Order: sequence, then structure tokens, then C-alpha cells
Amino acid sequence: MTDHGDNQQGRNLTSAYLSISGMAKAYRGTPALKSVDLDVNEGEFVALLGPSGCGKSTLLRLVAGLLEPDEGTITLADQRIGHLPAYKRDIGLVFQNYALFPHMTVARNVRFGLDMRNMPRAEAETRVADALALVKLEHLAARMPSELSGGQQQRVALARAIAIRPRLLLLDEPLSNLDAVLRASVRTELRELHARTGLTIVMVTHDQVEAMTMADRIAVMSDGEVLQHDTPQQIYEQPASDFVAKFVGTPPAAMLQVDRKIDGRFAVGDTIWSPSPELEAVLAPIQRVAVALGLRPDHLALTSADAPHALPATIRTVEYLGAERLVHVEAGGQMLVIRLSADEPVVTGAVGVAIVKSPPVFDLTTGLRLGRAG
Amino acid sequence: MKNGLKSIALMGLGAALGSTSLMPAMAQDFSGQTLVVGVWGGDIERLLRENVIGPLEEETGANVELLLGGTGDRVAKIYAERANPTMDIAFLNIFEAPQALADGVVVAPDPDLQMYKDIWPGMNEGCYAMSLAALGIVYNKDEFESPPEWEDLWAPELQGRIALPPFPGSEANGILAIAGRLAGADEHDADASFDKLAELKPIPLTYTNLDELLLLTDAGEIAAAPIISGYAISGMENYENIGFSFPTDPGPVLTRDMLCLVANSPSPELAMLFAEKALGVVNQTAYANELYFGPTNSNVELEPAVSEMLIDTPEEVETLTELDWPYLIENRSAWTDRWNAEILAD
Amino acid sequence: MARKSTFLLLTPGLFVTGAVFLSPFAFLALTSFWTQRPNSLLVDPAFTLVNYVRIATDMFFLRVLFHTIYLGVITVLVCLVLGLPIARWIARRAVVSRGILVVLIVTPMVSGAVVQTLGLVNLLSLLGVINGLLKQLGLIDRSIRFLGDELGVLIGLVQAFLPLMVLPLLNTMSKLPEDLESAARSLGAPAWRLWMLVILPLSMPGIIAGSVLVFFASVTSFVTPQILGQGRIQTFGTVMYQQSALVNDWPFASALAVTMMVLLGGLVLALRAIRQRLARRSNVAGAV
Ligand SMILES: Nc1ncnc2c1ncn2[C@@H]1O[C@H](COP(=O)(O)OP(=O)(O)O)[C@@H](O)[C@H]1O
Ligand SMILES: [Mg+2]
Repeated sequence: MTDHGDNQQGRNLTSAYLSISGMAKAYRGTPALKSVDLDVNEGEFVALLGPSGCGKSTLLRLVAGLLEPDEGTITLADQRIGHLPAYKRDIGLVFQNYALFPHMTVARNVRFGLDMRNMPRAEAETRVADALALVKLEHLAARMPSELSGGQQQRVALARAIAIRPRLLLLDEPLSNLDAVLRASVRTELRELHARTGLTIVMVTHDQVEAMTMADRIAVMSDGEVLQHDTPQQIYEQPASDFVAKFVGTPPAAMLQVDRKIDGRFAVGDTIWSPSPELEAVLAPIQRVAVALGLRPDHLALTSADAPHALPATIRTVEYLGAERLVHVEAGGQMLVIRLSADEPVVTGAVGVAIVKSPPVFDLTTGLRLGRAG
Repeated sequence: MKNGLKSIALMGLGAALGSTSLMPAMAQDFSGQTLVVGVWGGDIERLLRENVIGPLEEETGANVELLLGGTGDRVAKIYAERANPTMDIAFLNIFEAPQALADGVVVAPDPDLQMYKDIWPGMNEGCYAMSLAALGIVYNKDEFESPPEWEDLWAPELQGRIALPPFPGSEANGILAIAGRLAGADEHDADASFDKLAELKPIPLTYTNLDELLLLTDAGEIAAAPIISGYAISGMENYENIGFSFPTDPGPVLTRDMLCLVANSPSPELAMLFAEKALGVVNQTAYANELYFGPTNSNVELEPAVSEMLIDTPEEVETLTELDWPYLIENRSAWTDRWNAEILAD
Repeated sequence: MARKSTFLLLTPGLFVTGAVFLSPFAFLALTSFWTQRPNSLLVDPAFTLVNYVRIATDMFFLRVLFHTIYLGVITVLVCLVLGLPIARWIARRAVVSRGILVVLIVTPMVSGAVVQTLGLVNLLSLLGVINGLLKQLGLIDRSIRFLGDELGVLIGLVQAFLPLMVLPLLNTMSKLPEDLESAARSLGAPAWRLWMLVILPLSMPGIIAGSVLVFFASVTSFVTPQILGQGRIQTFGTVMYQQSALVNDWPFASALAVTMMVLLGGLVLALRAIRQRLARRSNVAGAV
């Protein structure tokens, strides 16, 4: 996976299918996007992931031509498209609330883009049928949108966007209006659709599970900037900043502040702590008085309080999840989460937390990754 | 009901006090009563307030309420309310008064009254004649070397620049009748009248607003228009380029504002007192001096300069064209259709 | 059940409506079947259809009727052409500035037709602002007649009743999700097709409401054609005024008024039937 990701990045530098550079947009003086660069390869499924209000939709609309950028260029298939009006871009767009034309039947909705291209009727009808078949809605072609369920509407919107054979398909929070059960199935359907059509897809979502499970690569955004653009695994294992670490994963990574005393020893809260030699090797070269370790449950194990290199900790709560349990412990005044399989016994009282795998280290103030290992 | 209770209470009180009358039984005391007068707003309203209403309210203790508006409103009101009128006095014009009398909605002028006798003979048609005016010509001085005659309005070079009043009404019927006379007939010959008047087409403006007409005439956009003296003459003073002509062939059309006592009105005695003052020398002199409305009261004496500008003597009335108003009124509906079709339509 | 209680709730309102609106109308309708006695302004309360026969057979009144309707239709069209972009422009503003703009649009209406119309007279008359400006610029010697012909009346009607078009349009248009337009554009619709296929069809309720309001207001208007038409433009309103206030033929004026109301009432019913049929059709289409 890591190799694959690096490989893609290498290609991006020369000729990405969609290339966004220096994209900036402000609404009445308030910046919503601050110089965003983003490359997407042909056939790739990229998720724009970030909390609500971070500028994901703004970026999507800029690509679609629905907004004018303040700065920046967009290249699609080696063609500059920044000057093209939306209706000439051949980019399919699916909105969060589907935006179906309420006065047109499902078939007319799907045919809309084809009519705009003045496609002969027979050909258009075939395309409509194909697109509806792709989303398994052939039987509802004559319905009005108001007579469809949310999931069906969503699929019509998808069929409508696909029918024009877009050069790029943009999805803005496509799953957020669906209930949990539907969401899971549509997730796989979208993946399948991507596989079958080979379309290049950029999907906006604020749900990291969605992004992790669906996308080839994820661009994590915060506050109008792309923090990291990488494969889900890289994002998960090698977060570029504490924000990414905390935003991605279930449960998210916990930040453990580690101070370095004048005498070179480490401390967590008031407790002096000696990390394992491997971890010490990572921490040693970092010239900081204090750093943060991004600890996921799989970095940690529960041991006895007096085990070597263990952090002294106290168990606060235990979350039972069926196959596993999440143990919330407090160490040096900071909370950590440890995963136990359901049959492992939970030690009570004073326990120790062992860091069994080298975690990413972050600058306390900037939140950026430090001393990248490997 | 309320009044009934009050008078019973007063009677009881009077009896208790040994039957001495509580109120000074002045014949002229109308305290608490309201006289309703329908009249035009503006200068006329102002003069009536100064010379008639003020003194009347003071002398009688009554309250005078004015309903301002055009005669159309008043005619509608007194006809609609004729079973149970609320208006005591309605100012109408000569185009409406005889019909109102014929229909019994106003009281016939009483020849035995002094105020009747004070008015020039023959003027009280339908109601009491309030003021005399004549339909003459307001004109732009650059367009005419001397005050124009009626015939001059038909000059080819002025075609399309003669404004007309709205039909029906004393002005519009007046110019229609003049057209008939110029055609060698008179107002009884509708065909001749309409044909002649239609020669003025196209009509650039049907004026409903004196200021607008004077402004346009002063600027030369309108060359001339038939209009009733009085208002026009007093309004004209503000414009350099405007003259008013009393034509001689035929003479100007005599028109009159009429003061009508509404039949079965709530306060007939008060109405009579109002009429006496309105038709009296003081008020009519003010009408003449300020509005150039000719007095109908033969006792009014005017300065020569004022007298020259208006109709105020029987001799002058002699020179005026008098129309068969009842005939014109009778035909107003049919002629309105003709006017719409033959004069206004392009 | 619900229907019955709704009706009960409406009773006081219906009563007031009946008293203040229906009874004068009933009297008006009744009067229209009377006549004026010959040589009198008094009414002869004997049932007759002569007034209606006169309206139906006199070319003058028929012509005025058609001309009034024609003016109404043109006014509606002009108001639509102006109102659609205005309403859309306002609908796209933020809520606060939208409120301000709505107030700006409604204010002239509150001032009443007379004031507005006189304002236009100042602007358009022979000695008005526009002619003055043209003369000052040396472009013309003698004033151009804007008033007293159709154009002037049309300008007056449009400026008086444009708000009646903009407000309902704004109402529907501000409810149009912006995403619908974005969707259409991304699917390849240039501006004109976006208007034809999405904005106009979805604004239909506003278009119909606005058109009906403007049409009614303009065909029943009196002040505007009277003042701006300067006696040369005759509409049902001015003719009714002439017949009632100048000729004093109230029965005939009533018949004119009733004719107009019946025509307008018929129009409302027709529109309702059309709307119902449209609604039914789209339901049927959906149910297939
Ligand atoms: N039309 C707009 N006018 C003003 N501000 C906007 C507009 N659209 C978005 N914003 C602001 O820009 C920021 C980014 O918005 P958006 O791109 O919609 O975020 P996201 O899709 O990530 O939730 C937010 O702070 C939002 O309030
Ligand atoms: Mg969004």
C-alpha cells in the first residue's frame, strides 16, 4: 500500500488527471479556501475529508465551475478549465440533497444532461436506460421524484450525473441524508459503480469511516487547507499532523503529552517515565521540551503497573463492543484508550500501559509530525 | 332616542325649578346641531370658511361640516340618500341643478325670499345661482395677435393643439354647443355640433387639472382651450404668456355655480341661514375679488378693474350665449357615447 | 370533520365579508338591472337587461373592453419580463438585504396610485423632467408626447403594479433550492435553458399569482389610465368613472362593473380548473 501511494504521488508531479493548484476562495473577505493544491489521477476515487465548514463543498463547486475562484488554476485531462462556465465542463455533480428537478419524471431528470447535448432521442433513451440500470432503478423511470424514497432519489441523482459520461464525477456528502443501514449498502454500491465505470470520482464527506472505506486516497482538510493527501492506510498509520490523527480512526488517536526534563528523562504529567529503547530512539533526536504522541489503541497494551517501560495508569471505564472491549485509562492526567479482546481479563486497580509500537510524534504547538520514522 | 331622554330629563328638571325656562329661547340658537355642506375644496372652501361658516358658527353655535369633492360625488350622494338625506347644502353647477330640482332631490328656490329677489332675474334655475361665469378661451399670447374668437380655434395651423374639458359637463357641453352655432345650427343639432368639434382632432389633452392646462398653455404646448372664466382668470395671473378671451361671436357661454338646498335635509333652517350668507354681498364680493367669479347678487358693487374681468351685470349677461341646459342634460348619456367615439377616438 | 370545524371557524370572517363586501356587490348587481328614468337621474327599479344589451351590442364598449384587456395583458407581460430578473436577483441576496429590497419595492405601493401616477406625470408630461432634459440637451425643440397615449399608460400601469408581480415571484423563487440551478448548469444547461427548463417551470405558482394580480389590478385601474391617458385612453375604469360620476347613469355604470367582475371571476375559475387539471395530470403521470 505504501509503495502504491508513493508511486501515485510520483505520477502526480508530472501529469495528474485533475490538478488543482493554488486554489483560494473567500466569501466577503472571509477565506474559505487558502491556496489548495490537489492532484487526482484518472480513475481514482478521492475523498475530501474534513469537519463541517472546512471548505470541502467550496472546493467541489470551484472544480464544477459553480463558483469563481479568487486565485488558482484547475487542469482536467491536460486542459485548463478555469475559464469554462459550468455547463461546458462535462463534470457530473451529485448534491447532498440530490437536487432532482421536482417537475420532471425520473427518466426526464436522467435525460436532462443528454437533452442539453442535443443527443438524438433514441440514443438518449438508451443512455437513460443504461444509467438507470446501473443504479437498479429501471422500474421507476416514470415516477416523479417526490414519489421516491431518499435512497432512490440519491440513485437517480447519481444516474443523472453518470448519464452524461462526465469526465469527472463529484459527490457532495452523498450518503449523509441516508439512514445508517442504507448508508452501508450505498457505500458498497458506490464502490462497485466506481469499479464498473472507471470514473474519476471526488467525494466530499465529513465521515472518516466513509472516506476510509471508499476512497483510494483521502485529502484531509481543515480550515480551508489540505493537511494530508494520501492512501487511507497512510493517513491512518502516518498522520501528517495531530489533527489528522485525531480526525481519523475509531476511536481517534489520543494525544499523550511527553515532557523532557533537564536531566534528559521523560515525564508524563508528574510521573517520571522511561520509554522503551525503540521509542527512546525515536524521541531522542527530537529537540523539544515537550512533544505529543499520537496513540491509537493498537499502539498500546495493558500490563501490570510495575512492568518495565510501562506508564502507570488507572482504569476509568470499559466499553464493551461485543468482539472487543475498549478500556479507557488515565495516565499522568491524560486519557488513553486500549483495545482488549472480549476474553482477555481486565486487570483492576493500578495498571500499566505499554507502548508496543512506535507512535507518530507531533509538535505540541504546530501539531505537525516530528522525526518521521522511516 | 338619546335626545328624547335628554329632553325628558330637562322637562323634569324644568318642572322642579318651577317651570322657569332653563335655556334662553333664542330663535337663532342651533348649538349642538351640525350643518353638512358639500362643496369644492380649495379657494372656494377657503372663502366660504372666512365669510360664511365662521360668522354662521359664531352666531348660531352650530357646527358646519364640509364634504369636499366634485359635483359628481355630491349628485350621487343626494340621489342615493334622497329618502334620508345627510347633506343639507350641495353646491352643483348649472349642468346638474335643473335636473336635481326636476327629480325632487333639491328644494325649489323660493321667489318670496329676499335672497331670491337679490339675485339677477332668471338666474335661479333649479337652485339659487351662486356665481356667474362664462365659458371663454384661455390662450397662449404668442399664438394669437388679439384675443381669439371661437372660430380662431379652428385655424388649421392650430390643429392638434386645442385641449378640451371632459364630457359631459358645463364646459364640454358649452364648447359643443358653440361648435354647433359655428356650424350654423345650435346645441339642438347634435350632428352638426359633433362634426364641427371633431374638426379639432386630434385632441392633445382632456384637461382635468387647471394648473396643468395653464402650464402647458403658457409653454405653448397647448395653443388654447375653452374654459370657464373665474378660476382660469385668477390662476392665469401666475403666467406671462396666457390670456383669457371672452369671444363675441357668439358670446361666451353663460355657466353658473348653483347653491342647492337638499330636499328633506336634517337642518333646513340652518341651511337657509347658510344660503343667505353665501349668497350675500360679503361672500360674493370676496368671490369676485379673489376668484373672479361673477356675483349673482345685484347689490354687490365691484371696483372697475375687477368688474372688467368678470360677468357681473345684466347687460353683460345679455351678450352671453345661453344654452338649453335641460335639453343637454337629457342627452348627456347618448352624447357621451358620441363624444367618446367621435371626439376622443383617434 | 376537519372541514366542518374549519367552516365554523370561518363563520365570523364570512359574516364580515358578507356584510362589507358582498352586500354592496349584491346592491351593485341589482342596480345593474335597473335603468334611469327618461329625463331624470332617478332610477327606475324595474328589472331589465337593457344595460347589458347595450354593453354587448355597442361597439364602443366592446372595443374599450378589449382594449382594457389588451392593456392588462401587455402590462402582465412587461411586468413578467421585468419582474422575473428582479425577483431572481433579490431572491439570491442574503436574507437581510432581501428584506430591505422588499421594503423598497413595497413602499411606493403604499403611497397609493395617485401619488405615484402624479410622480410619473412630472416625469413624462410635455413639460416634465424628461422633456426638459431633452430640450436642455438640445435634442428636441417641441416636447415629445409620452402621456395621453398607450405608452404612457403602460408605463404607469407597469410601475404601479410591478410590485404585485415581484412579490409572489420572489416568494416562489426564494424557495427554489440553489442546488437545482447548480445541477442544471453542471448537466450542461446554459443560462437560457436553465431559465426555460428549470427556473420558469418551478416559478409557475408565482408567475400565475403575479400575473393574475397584475392583470386584475390593471384592468380595474382607474387613476393611472385617467391621469396618464389624459382622456385619450379609455379603459373600463375610465368609462365607468365617466358613466357614474359625469353622466350619473349609475345603473349602466353598475352593469359595466358587474360585467368586468364576471369576466374576472370567470378567469379565476378557468385558471383554477387549469391548475387542477395540471396537478391531476402530474399525479397520474407519477402514479404510472
Ligand atoms: N455562499 C456562501 N456565503 C458565505 N459563506 C459561505 C458560503 N458558502 C460557504 N461559506 C462558508 O465558507 C466556509 C466553507 O464552507 P463549505 O465549503 O460549505 O464547507 P464544508 O462543505 O466543508 O462544510 C464555511 O465557513 C461556510 O460558512
Ligand atoms: Mg459541504
